[in-house]
Amino acid sequence: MAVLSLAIVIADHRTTALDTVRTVIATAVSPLIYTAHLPYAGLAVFSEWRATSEDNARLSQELSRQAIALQRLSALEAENSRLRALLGSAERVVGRERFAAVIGVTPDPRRSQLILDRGDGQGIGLGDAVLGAEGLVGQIIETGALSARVLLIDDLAHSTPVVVLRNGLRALAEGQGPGAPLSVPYLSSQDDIRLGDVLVTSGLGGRFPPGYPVARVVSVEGSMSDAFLAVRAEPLAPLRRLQDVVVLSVAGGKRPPWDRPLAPAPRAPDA
Amino acid sequence: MMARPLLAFWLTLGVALVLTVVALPPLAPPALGWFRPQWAVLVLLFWVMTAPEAVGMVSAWIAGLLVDSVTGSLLGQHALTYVLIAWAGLSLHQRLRMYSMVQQALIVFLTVLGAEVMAALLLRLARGQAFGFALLWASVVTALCWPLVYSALAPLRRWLGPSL
Repeated sequence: MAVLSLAIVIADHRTTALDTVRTVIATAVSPLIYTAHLPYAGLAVFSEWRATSEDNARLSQELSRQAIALQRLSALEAENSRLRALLGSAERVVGRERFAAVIGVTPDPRRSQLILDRGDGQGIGLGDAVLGAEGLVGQIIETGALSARVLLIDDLAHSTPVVVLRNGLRALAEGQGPGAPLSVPYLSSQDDIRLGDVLVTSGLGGRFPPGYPVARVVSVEGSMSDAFLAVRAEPLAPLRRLQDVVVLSVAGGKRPPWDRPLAPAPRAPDA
Repeated sequence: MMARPLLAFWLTLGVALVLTVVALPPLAPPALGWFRPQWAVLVLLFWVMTAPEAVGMVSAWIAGLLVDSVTGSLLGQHALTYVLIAWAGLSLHQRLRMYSMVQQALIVFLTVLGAEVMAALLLRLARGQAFGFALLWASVVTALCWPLVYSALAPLRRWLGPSL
C-alpha cells in the first residue's frame, strides 16, 4: 500500500492523469470544508446585518459615480475596437465572469491556496484566472462539484508573466511563499524598472488575460556591476484578507480565447 | 461487531478533518499555522490502538487520501504516511494499551515525527521544498493533544463495547 501511495504521489506530481480522481475526492470532502467555514460564515452574516444600512447609502453613491465613469469607458471601448479593426488585430475576447466566495484556506503554512464555494457544477474549470477587486489573485488548480482550489500568485509554485505598465517591459513575477513579496528575476541593471512601478499581466503563456494589475514594485536592488537586479513586488490584491473573488471562466473548451497571439505583434496591454 | 467502531472511526475522522481545515481567525498571526496539531493522525492512532480488528491499513490509506484532498497536498502524500502510522500503531497496539498517557504521547510524538520527516523528504524530492524545525513543533503539539483526544474518544470506545 505504501508503494501504491508512492506511485500516486509520482503520478500526481508528474502528470495530470489524477485530476479526475482529485475532483471526485474534492467533491466528497467539500461538505467538511463548508462545515469548517460555518463559524466564519455566521460571523460574516452578523457583521453584514449590522453594516448593511450604512453600506447601502455609501454604495448607491458609489454606483452613480461608477456609472458616470462607465459611460466614458464604453466610448473608449468602442474607439478601441475600431482602432483594433483598423490595425487588423484580433478582437480581445473576455471569458465569463463568476463571483465566488472564499470558504477556506490551506492549513499548510508553506502553501498559498484558497478554496472557493463554486466548482465544476458552476462551470469553473482548471486553469481559470481568479481576480480580486484590486488585482490578480491566482488560478484554479483543482475543482470539485461544489468547490474549487486556487493557487495564489505568491505561492512558491506560481509565477505570473507580467509587463511593466509604464513601459511594457516583459518580466516574470515569481511567488516566494505566503506573505512574502513576489520576486521579479532576470532583469538586468540596464532595464528600466523603478520603485512604485505597477506590473500587469502580459497574457503571454495564455493562462491569464492581459492587462490585469498584479503587483507594485517595492524594492529594486543592484548596481551597474551586478548581472541581475533583485526586484521585489508586493501583490496588489490583499491575498490574506480576500472574501470575494471573480473567476474568469471560458465556456466550452479548456483553451482560453486569449490563448492566441495578438496579431500583428505582441504589444503592451492598454490598461 | 466490526462495523460500529469502523463507523465511529469515520465519524470522528470527519470531525478531525473539519478541525484540520478550519481557518485561523483573521487576527491570528499566520505563523500559528506551524503549530496546528494533526487531528486526523490522533484519531487514526486512537482507533488503530483500541479497535485494531476494525480500523487498519486500508482505512488509514483512504483517510490519508481525504487529508490530501482537504489540505491540497500532493495526492498520496498523507496516504503514504498514514499507512506507515497505522502499521506502527497496529504492531504496537498491545503494548500501547498498557502504557501510561505520557508514554503514549511520547510514542505519538515519535510516530508523527517519523511520518513528517518522511513527507518532508518526499516533498524535497518532488518540489525541492526545504524543511526545518517546523516539523518538530508540529509533532510536539500533536503529541500534547493526545491526552485530549484520548479522553474525548475513550468514553465513545467504551460505549461501543469491548475490543478483542
